[in-house]
Amino acid sequence: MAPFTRRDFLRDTAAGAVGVSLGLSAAQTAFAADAADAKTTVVLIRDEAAMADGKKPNAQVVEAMLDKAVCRLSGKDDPTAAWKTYIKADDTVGIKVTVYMISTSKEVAGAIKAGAKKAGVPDERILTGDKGNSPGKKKPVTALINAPSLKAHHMSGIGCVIKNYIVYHAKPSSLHPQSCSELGAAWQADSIKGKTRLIVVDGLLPLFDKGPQVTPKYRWPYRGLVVGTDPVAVDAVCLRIIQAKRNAFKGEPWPVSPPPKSVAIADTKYHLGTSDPAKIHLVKLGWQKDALV
Amino acid sequence: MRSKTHFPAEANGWTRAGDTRVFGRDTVFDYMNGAGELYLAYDFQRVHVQDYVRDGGPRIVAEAYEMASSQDAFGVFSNDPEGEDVGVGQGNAYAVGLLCMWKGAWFFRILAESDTLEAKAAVVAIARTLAEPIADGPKPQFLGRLPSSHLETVSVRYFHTHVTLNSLYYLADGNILGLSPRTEAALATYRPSGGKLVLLLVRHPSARDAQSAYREFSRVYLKDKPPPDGPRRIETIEGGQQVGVLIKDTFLALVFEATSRDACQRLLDDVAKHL
Repeated sequence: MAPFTRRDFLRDTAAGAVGVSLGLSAAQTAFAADAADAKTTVVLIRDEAAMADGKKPNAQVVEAMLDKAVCRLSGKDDPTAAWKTYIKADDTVGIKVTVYMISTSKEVAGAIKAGAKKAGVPDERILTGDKGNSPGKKKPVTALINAPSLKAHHMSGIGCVIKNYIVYHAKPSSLHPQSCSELGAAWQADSIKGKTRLIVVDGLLPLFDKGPQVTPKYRWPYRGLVVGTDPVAVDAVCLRIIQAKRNAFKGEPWPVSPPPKSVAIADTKYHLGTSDPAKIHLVKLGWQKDALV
Repeated sequence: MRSKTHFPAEANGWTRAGDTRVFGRDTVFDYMNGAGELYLAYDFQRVHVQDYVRDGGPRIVAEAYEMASSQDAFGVFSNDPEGEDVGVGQGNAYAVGLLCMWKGAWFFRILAESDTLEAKAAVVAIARTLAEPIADGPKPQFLGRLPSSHLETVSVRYFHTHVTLNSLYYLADGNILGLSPRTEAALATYRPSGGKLVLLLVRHPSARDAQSAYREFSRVYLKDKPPPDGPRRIETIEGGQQVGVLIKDTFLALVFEATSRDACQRLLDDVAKHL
């Protein structure tokens, strides 16, 4: 197989499938119009009140947003019933957050914990952490909630859902070559494999370039959460948001660089979900201004 | 530089909080995860980190990156040089609470968690104190090879490796240009009237290395189109874009995103005069 090059992104054909499916090509494949046509649903919820000043999240608003998103995702009206769709009362729940650089806000982590408690899980069986304290590393878990922040990443293009589990790999830095294309391998670790029940991406104050280090000029108060059960589909939606923001910022195409191949490869090689927008039903709730997708 | 000596004890009411932490090549990932690769690609030696606090004010984190040379300190800075010039170091850029600065073989990154006027004054004061004992160092002479006509000065990036290239301007999966810590490379945008071109200029350790990179670029990127007899070629690719290639001694120049053959030719001509 010929090496992948920049030219592949310039094509609007199947040869540029990765770019097209991830929204990097000039050709933008639309998300599935109807859930019946899709393999998975991703909920994007935004609320202007989630960060009234554009900096400090409002915990109550964030929890209400997350409950609403989980209700929509599960098809249940009641938040307790909705959370029980994904978490059982006898689960030991791990909330895998990002604590370094562009971190998951404590308000989002708190809202997730509150959701697990609604499902009947007591405090002592809800573990939240990252790196050496990542749930499942020291203490076993039965259910994981993947809760990264939304950010561009200079090594992988995007550092979000798939990348959030790199800490579970025996040697994380070994996944850095080739634009971190093999990040899906981290999901094969025995301690976590098959345990991810829900994905909640903190998109309150994302970063659209120079991640993962904090560069404030590339952050903006998007005030959103992206919620789903398919890690690849959620990453594909997140990538579309980041790409759209970059284009808007520069006023011309500004491709995510390097191309986030790990997302497509998580689909085609590791079978963790779908990266094809045509198979993703995107539900947008709440505040729609500048939603970008 | 001894970090404890030169991080100021106080700046505009902010005082040091905790000890200075130091992370080297083997431990940098403990501090910043994969972000460390950016610095390792520039022959990073170690980073000194000092927190500052003030009642009622945002936390400030001052990072001093010790590089092997001033050229590499400039290189790191060149990754993102846009911002307000606050008059410190050999080059600096302040934006929304973050000050990036280089001087000598040091690159500094000083971040206030909230962008207030008082915090900005503290950030600048910390930077000034850090920079004061450091002697100026030279920029990469290699950058003198870039034609100045129509050059968007703020677009110039200086680097060595494939990892950095692909984070700045993705070219290909493999390291088709044979970039390494021993190569020097610059990426720059040119904007002649109404147009845009991207120039990637590489200096290899030897002419043989440059020839090898030329062949590999032709094979992978130009899809095995046979090279012409001369030292340059211009090919049309997707969307009518023109790709220009020029090889001379140890230098390989590549022009991307040209919308006309003439524009591509003119930039290659200009480059050739500087090699």
